[in-house]
Amino acid sequence: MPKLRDLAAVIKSKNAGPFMITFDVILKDRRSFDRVRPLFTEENICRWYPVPRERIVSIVPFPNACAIKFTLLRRVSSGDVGDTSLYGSQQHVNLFNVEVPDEQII
Amino acid sequence: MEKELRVLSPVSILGYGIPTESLRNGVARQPHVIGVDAGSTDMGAYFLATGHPYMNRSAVKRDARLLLEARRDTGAVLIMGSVGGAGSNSHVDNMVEIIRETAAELDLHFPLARIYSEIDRKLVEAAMHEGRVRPLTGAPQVTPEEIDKISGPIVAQMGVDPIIAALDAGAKVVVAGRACDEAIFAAPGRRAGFPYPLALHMGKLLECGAACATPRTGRDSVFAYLREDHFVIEPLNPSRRVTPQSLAAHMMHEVEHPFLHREVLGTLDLSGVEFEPAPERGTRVSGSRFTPARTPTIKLEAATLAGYRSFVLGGMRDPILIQQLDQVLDGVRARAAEISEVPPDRYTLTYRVYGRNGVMGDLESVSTITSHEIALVADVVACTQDEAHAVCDIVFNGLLAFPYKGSIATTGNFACPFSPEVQDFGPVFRFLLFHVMEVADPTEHFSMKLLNI
Repeated sequence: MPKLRDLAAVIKSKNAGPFMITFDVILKDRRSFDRVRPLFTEENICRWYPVPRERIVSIVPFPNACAIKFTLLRRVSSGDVGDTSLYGSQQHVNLFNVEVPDEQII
Repeated sequence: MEKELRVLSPVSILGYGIPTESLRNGVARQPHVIGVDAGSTDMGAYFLATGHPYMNRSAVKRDARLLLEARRDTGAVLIMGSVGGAGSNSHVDNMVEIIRETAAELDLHFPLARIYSEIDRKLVEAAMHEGRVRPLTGAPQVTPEEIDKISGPIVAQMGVDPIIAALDAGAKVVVAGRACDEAIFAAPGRRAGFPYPLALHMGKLLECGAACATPRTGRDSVFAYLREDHFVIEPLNPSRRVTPQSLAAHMMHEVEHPFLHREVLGTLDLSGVEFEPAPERGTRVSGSRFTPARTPTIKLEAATLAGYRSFVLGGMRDPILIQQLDQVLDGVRARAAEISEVPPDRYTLTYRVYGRNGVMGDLESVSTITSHEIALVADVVACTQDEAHAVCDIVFNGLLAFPYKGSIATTGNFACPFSPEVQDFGPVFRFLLFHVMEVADPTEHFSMKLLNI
């Protein structure tokens, strides 16, 4: 099974304001987008990141850009006591090894 | 010839270092507008609370000099937004002073508009009582009584209108306090009668310099042509391209929603956006839409003091020790609680274990580590600096000598690179206000003054 990192052109994390962290996945092509889009469910995100569902703010596919974005509430706000990444950077790596099921041959 | 507005975005943050060759390529395209952002909330609440400028003065002055010269050579208007980092009044005054000094050195003279964006606490408090203020997602509920907890000023984020007013008044250089990034670039287009959705969308893409290009960087320049039914963005560095994918990536950058962007006057809707290849390694963009809000809203930002920090940095290499790291860290924490004169409810001790989960904290998915060495930051935030230092001293000397099972090394658990080991960091701030406030008029809380430089 390919990994998400094999099909994606961009996988990144960044602050969306001081209270949220947002994850962007941009696929290399439309076919890959269609293939991985069903994986982005609340249930799966909570498996990839050990967070309760209440911390998921949104999961939004953006077909025109072959992209999927999801956003989490931060445990602590940017720069507050206990924060580990002021800019929300370097939090994306849990997505690298997400396994993408093989395409169904119809 | 088709009507167009030419816009240069030299760099993502004023002071990051504008590449001179890219700037020269931009100047050669005869821009009407040079826009540059200088701030964000990304660097935390510290700069807003304290008034310290985010970027080093000499770096800001170097970039400002290049832009003032580019303005002289092209006649473009130069618009700077969120100057100083947080866009507080002291940040604006500081930037105006840098421009004055630079202009004097270059013998340049121009009308400059200074736009303040601090807003009086009493006004915010009154608006809270009237139910016109609400937190953005994730921000705390703040009562009017809690306004007293704010450290430093409250800033409001301006949209295009205060900048348009400054241009209407004849300003050739605009030094704006806290501003929406896209407004810096969208204001002249709106003023010249171009469709607002296109102007705003172009601004959203230009605000970080060549961050909308590939290879991506905020430390380089891009150029845009705004026209009646589309805009084109092209790179100014021959080694970069602007592609549909690089633009899409930047449209989604640091926002919660990939294609709906709320701003002062309404919501920019990019769901129907279309990209086409354009000359000069650029991309043509059309199909941006805008839904006006019933009432304009301005975003408010303010900080509050979280405490005072002391920390110690060191490393561990002994595998017998690393195996028992948690027992050691817990033991040191318990010892500090026992022997320190500072009660545990007056401080927070955070261990930052690099080589394990120092980067991701609770989001880390790897639970078993094989690191041969560990970097540890013991981070204490307390009610006063003296208390933070006192606790951190005890944590440090605890780490140095805490016993663990099977140890062969009998001295020194903790390799410190610096003397003195315990460092006082000073105050720590967090955001308290990250709210929107309904306003009758999008210019009402921003005061503009025209200065002759």
